[in-house]
Amino acid sequence: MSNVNQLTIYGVDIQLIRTLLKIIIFISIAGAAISSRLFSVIRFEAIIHEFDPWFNFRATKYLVTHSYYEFLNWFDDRTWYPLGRVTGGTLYPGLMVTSGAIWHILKNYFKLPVDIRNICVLLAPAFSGLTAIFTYFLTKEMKDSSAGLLAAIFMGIAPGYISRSVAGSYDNEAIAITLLMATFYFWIKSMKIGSVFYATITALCYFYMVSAWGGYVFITNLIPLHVFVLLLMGRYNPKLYTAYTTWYALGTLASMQIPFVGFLPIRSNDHMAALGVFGLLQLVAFGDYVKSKVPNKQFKSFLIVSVVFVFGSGIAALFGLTAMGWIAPWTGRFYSLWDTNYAKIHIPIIASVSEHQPTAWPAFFFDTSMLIWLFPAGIYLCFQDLKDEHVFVIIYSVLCSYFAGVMVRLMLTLTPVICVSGAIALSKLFDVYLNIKDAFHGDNISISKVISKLTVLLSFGFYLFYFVLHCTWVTSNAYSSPSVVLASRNPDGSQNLIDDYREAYYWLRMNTPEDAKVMAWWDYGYQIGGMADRTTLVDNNTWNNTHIATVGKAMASPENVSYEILKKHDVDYVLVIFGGLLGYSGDDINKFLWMVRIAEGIWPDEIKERDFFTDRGEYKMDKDASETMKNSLMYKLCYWRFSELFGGRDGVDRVRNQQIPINAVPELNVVEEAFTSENWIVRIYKVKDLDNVGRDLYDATKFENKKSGKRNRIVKRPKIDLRE
Amino acid sequence: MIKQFYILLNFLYFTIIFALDIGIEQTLVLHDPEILPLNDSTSGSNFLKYLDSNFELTFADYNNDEISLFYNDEESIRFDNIILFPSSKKTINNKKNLNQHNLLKFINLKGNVLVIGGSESTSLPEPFRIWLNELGIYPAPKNYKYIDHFNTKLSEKNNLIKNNIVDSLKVESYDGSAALITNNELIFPIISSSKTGYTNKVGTPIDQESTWTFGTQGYLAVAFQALNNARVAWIGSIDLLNQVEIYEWVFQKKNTLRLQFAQHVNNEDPSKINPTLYRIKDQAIYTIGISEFKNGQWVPFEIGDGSDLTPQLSFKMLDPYQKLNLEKLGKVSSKEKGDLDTFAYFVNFTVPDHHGMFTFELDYKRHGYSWILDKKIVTVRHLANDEFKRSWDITNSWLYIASTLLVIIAWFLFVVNYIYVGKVNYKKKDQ
Repeated sequence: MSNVNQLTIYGVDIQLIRTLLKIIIFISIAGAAISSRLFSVIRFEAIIHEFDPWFNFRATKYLVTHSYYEFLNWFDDRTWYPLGRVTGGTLYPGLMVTSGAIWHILKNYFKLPVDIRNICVLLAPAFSGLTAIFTYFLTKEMKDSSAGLLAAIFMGIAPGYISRSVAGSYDNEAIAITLLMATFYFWIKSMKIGSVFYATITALCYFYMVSAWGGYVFITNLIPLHVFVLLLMGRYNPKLYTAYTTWYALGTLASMQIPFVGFLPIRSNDHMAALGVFGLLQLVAFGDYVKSKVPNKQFKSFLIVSVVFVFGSGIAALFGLTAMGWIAPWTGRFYSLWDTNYAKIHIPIIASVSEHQPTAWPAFFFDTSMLIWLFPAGIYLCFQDLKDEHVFVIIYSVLCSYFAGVMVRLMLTLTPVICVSGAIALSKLFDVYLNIKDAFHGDNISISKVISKLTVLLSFGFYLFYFVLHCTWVTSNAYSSPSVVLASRNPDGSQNLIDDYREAYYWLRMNTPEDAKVMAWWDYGYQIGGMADRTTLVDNNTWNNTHIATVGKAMASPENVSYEILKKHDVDYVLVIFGGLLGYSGDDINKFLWMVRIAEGIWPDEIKERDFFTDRGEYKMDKDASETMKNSLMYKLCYWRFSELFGGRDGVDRVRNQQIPINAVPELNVVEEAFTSENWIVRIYKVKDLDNVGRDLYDATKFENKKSGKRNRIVKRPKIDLRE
Repeated sequence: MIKQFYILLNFLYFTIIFALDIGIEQTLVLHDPEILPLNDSTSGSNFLKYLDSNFELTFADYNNDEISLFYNDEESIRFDNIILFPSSKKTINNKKNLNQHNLLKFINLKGNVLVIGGSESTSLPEPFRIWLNELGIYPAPKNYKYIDHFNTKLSEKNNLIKNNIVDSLKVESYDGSAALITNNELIFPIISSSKTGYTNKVGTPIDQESTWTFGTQGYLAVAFQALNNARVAWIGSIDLLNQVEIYEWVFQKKNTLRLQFAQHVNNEDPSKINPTLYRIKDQAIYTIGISEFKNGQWVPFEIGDGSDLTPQLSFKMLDPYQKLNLEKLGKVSSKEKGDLDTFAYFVNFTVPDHHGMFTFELDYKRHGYSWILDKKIVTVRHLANDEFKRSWDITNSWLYIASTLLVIIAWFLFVVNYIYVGKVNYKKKDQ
């Protein structure tokens, strides 16, 4: 067999050719991964997408214009007015630091002063190439390099991952998935060979992951679970001990260096599994040692007694410490993973986020195409082999399948394991069917064998081809919209860009004082901060439920109640999103019930969800709308002068398909219209000052509108309250 | 040529306006010649003398069409003060310029108005009445009269409300009207009816419906100060013009305050005035300077110790975290090398142990004095990563530090022991 290494083709060593080919394949995969993520840049422009990325972008700008320590200690006085946010201590700095480092390196070492925005826009595609490579290594550990290459290309173009990593989607997940794959790869590696070195690298990757994404808890629980299952399977060995203890000790210490994480790893329930397994592993190691020293029979009873004792006392300690408040109980997000109704009842703010909703089943096909049915086959193959690393893939797939079913956004963590196990299945299939040598080298060439092989190969060739088509189509049509700019089609088929958001934010930036406070629903907080650079009351970092409920109350209350809230919070402008004219369904009226629910959670006596429905329980904006609805600030801000657009007829709200009566125009007393964007999507109102002569603003408006008309000859005694 | 002339005209026009602006204050007096000719010696004669010596006066009949309250730009007022004498008619001709909306705008542009009510045969023309009602003052209509059978003379005990404007009553007999007022916080009465006084239609018995005021719900003189410090007073009778303080107050000659400066500094860096950033538990020093307008010039506004008039500072974020009386500092000058025209007050306090956007709020609202409102928003940040105590500064931590060191030393000894001590030297043995 030693002459295999000396095989040459045209005088070139075959190993060299292999390496070269591999490099070319990697470059192609990275190219495919990156280029398929550039649709949005080509169609629109290099713009930051959606909501959270705007915060990350703003934070990155802060980082590159200030020192690292200023960033770490950043107290942000332009959000959550007047509470402020300890931003430096409540964010995962990994993403910003990564792009900041790239920016500095390009500027200082390559003399390439690139705009930080371009780095932020293109960071996710760049990292997707790395993800593919790490997926290759991980899969290679599972099977072989041909499966690895398949997994890499799957990972490169699977829509489930693209959805969070297109150019402009500058979010934590952009680098977190790369780190997830890297951590898992190094973990498998270190666990297999029991290397302290690889375990240390695992810990470093883990640290990077902790610094980048809150989803690091997934790793914190998955690796201990893997170890735990291996222990239960009786597969304890010193390698496992070395790998796990090294990773746990270093990784935990490192993760505690992130200010936002702090002491969580030793004080929160989410992290207790890792600690428990760490302790268990010590005991098992000790047991192993005892076993080698004492006879088998005695050992068995020793084992049973100690396991029961340790397990019992561990659970008791966990409960006790949690009850005493030493260990933080599970977070609401965690509960909502197990009980999908939990959030709806207890934490409306979590339930109100669309990406926290359960996944619809077509989404699995949509996001992974053929991989979803190759996935179980791959898992089956893992079961057949069932080495330690295969156990890992099985656990990963079981857990993530469940999570992805519960929450849409967790499709993201399922996608890598689908790619890995799909690649294992497909490469196994190709191993068998692509082996044409057998067909020709045999004693008799069987036609039926050749045909069956051809059929399978051709059909899978077609599937692969179709997979690429599907991925490209999904990426292009579903995941490449910046959502800041909306695209629609004119009747003649040409593209029509709806740029109301940026129009309005730019108006705010140019026409309002720099310290103006803008109240809007929290969805738009990051965008206002990023694009309009104005102070907001609440934003997408929903850390303070009461403050959000205050904004909800201001929106849901009659004007006089709202005005007190607005004045108390020094609000200068109120911004609402209204899609009724255009038929844009993601507007504030459709989100309004969440505002009501969240406000009701804090002020159940003042805000009642039932009051916003008609007597028949319908959510209506037309003439049947309830009085509470018509009097709410939100309704007034949205429909103020709306019917005037329709030339004397009733206005038509195209989102809800309801008629807004022309003769019941809402009146505005405490605010005045300042700006309405081209398609009426964004409406901005200015909050009026207190009346100079001390009237309430209802009376003031009434007086303003009443021009001296009929003379009132007889002066009647006024009905006046007793003077206080 | 024409253009140049036009420019010159324009220039002249602006010079005149400018001259008017800094010159003597303009005052408009509206009256009804049938009731009050304003040329013989009436009870308001002292008042007229006062007016004549202090203001550039414009006398006009209520029906004068020429009168306009604003310059052509509609943004600046032609008069500083308006005085409304009683009229016999309910309507006026000049409704275009003298209507309730323009009067309200006049106040919003910081003009002052003195309204003089009259005896039973007079009243206010309708636009003025509606405008007064809008402020929250409802004077009794025509043919109504204020009557008190038990206390025929006004007395300080029964009638005077101490609001820093009128200290002593100089009028005894009162022949005039009374007004109802609303709960508007900007209104503060000066002279009230006694418990036994009432306002009724002349010649009719007291009646639940028609009687305008009963007892102390009626007021004979009412002051009003808008948020922009424009002043209005309604007096029920021309007799009350003998209370000089009332009209001096309306014309901003009395109790007019000005906030010359309000500033805060951090005790650690006092050279930086009004810093925007504080750290929790910093020491802040807040200083203000207030002047009072007296006899044509600004003088220091000094308050007696423990007086109700002491200004207060709130340091608030939604709610006040600190509410402090300011202490007296002394007389200072508001300008460099100027006279000592300002009295400074200060307070020194610890910023609360809570981060957020706090407001230094000076909300000075004392009846009879100009309102003063000043807000300065600052950021109070948390401790930075290197501003906490070091671990060894905390005595509680010594135990942990000691145990850490102990473990390290023990581990080191263990390793040394494991590798070198007590091992059989195989090499030697083999030999």
